[in-house]
Amino acid sequence: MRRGKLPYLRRVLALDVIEDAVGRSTEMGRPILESYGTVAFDQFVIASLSTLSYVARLAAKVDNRVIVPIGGNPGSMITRPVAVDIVKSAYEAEGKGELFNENDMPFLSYEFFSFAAGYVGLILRERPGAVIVGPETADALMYVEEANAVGALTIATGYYIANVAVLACAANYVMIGEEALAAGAYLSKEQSRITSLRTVDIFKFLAIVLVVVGVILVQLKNNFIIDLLSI
Amino acid sequence: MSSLFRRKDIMITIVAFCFGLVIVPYFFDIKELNTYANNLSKIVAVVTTSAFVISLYAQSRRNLIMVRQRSKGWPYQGFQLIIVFLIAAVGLILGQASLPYKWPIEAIQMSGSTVFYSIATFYMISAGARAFRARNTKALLFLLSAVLVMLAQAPMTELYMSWPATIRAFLGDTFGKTATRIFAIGLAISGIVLGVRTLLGKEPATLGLQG
Repeated sequence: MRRGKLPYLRRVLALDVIEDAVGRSTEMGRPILESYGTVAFDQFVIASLSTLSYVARLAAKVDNRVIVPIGGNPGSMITRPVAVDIVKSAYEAEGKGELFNENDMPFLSYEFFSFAAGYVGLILRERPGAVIVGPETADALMYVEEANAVGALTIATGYYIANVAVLACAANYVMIGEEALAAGAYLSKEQSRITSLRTVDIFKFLAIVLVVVGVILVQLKNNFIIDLLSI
Repeated sequence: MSSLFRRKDIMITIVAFCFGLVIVPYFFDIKELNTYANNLSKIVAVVTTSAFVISLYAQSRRNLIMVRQRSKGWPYQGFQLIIVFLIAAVGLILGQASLPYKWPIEAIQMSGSTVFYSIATFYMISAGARAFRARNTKALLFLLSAVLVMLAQAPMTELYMSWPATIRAFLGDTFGKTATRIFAIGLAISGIVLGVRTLLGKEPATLGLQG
């Protein structure tokens, strides 16, 4: 890849509208509500923390609040201090450290549905202008529907196929699977991080070639690819 | 001292070290490394338990502030605060097997969770009512497929006709499986690349830093 030239990136609408969502919330005089998942550090939580960092910085620029409900799993207690650090340093980076309020990052419960009930209550009480739902499971639909009921713009993370189908019906914008994982790199616009997304495309292309060749070989009664991948 | 551990390169080194300590024994049976990896897992368990105390403190402080300032929904926060400490006190004094400790959990918390889960059905109906509108050709195809699949799912359909089940199997085995596998391949590759980015310090948010 030629130095200094960014590779072509497919637009991810759900990530592109985050800035508008923050602006819209601010114009409406409402906060932004974002969650980053319920489990301990997995790839989706890591990716969502990057989005949280971006959103917190945008919110700090326009003097808005970011409410981050935390909980749903014992593992979420480990991620909490990191999330607090991220939002705090985002406000400090924008010179608005005094606007950061740790009470806007409540730990609701480590019980799954108690957390979900608290999350829904938070949406109804705070009436955010935008709700960015992280990698949640069965509860994601509840948040998106409640957010819709209070007139919030909804951006959701669909991280398994059944969830994508449900969120595609309910949310305004959905990050589908790998789009959520690419969030950190996509939003940073840094060359070194964006090029890693091209690496994903190259490996995906190789996977497609492998699948096509495998299908042809199986038709010819040759199990070479199946044996190779079964090692 | 704390500023030392806030340095990005120190953090990345620790992350890479822990990664190696867990991943190497997975592929190679080295007894000493296995011991260290197990110890690391125990440390994680201890840290998680400690984090619980910090979370309880943070939540109690928030609830107290809300009650004191009479913020919106303060009676619920007060109620939650009382219940948490009441159950903890009962558990400490009478033990976890005692009825006064088990009753609020089994009779209130568990049934409350089940009720909340069942509410998801209503959310699905309201989402479906908004989404299932044939606004264009794609939406029409989506709607027809959904109706056929739902028809096949209904137990009564099986008694009167078999063709919806055949269509459901076709849709599931061709479009459904293909989409699921494409999704899985994309996720697996992106997950690995994200892991590499994290190990190289290109995902600073994971470390609580700004990117």
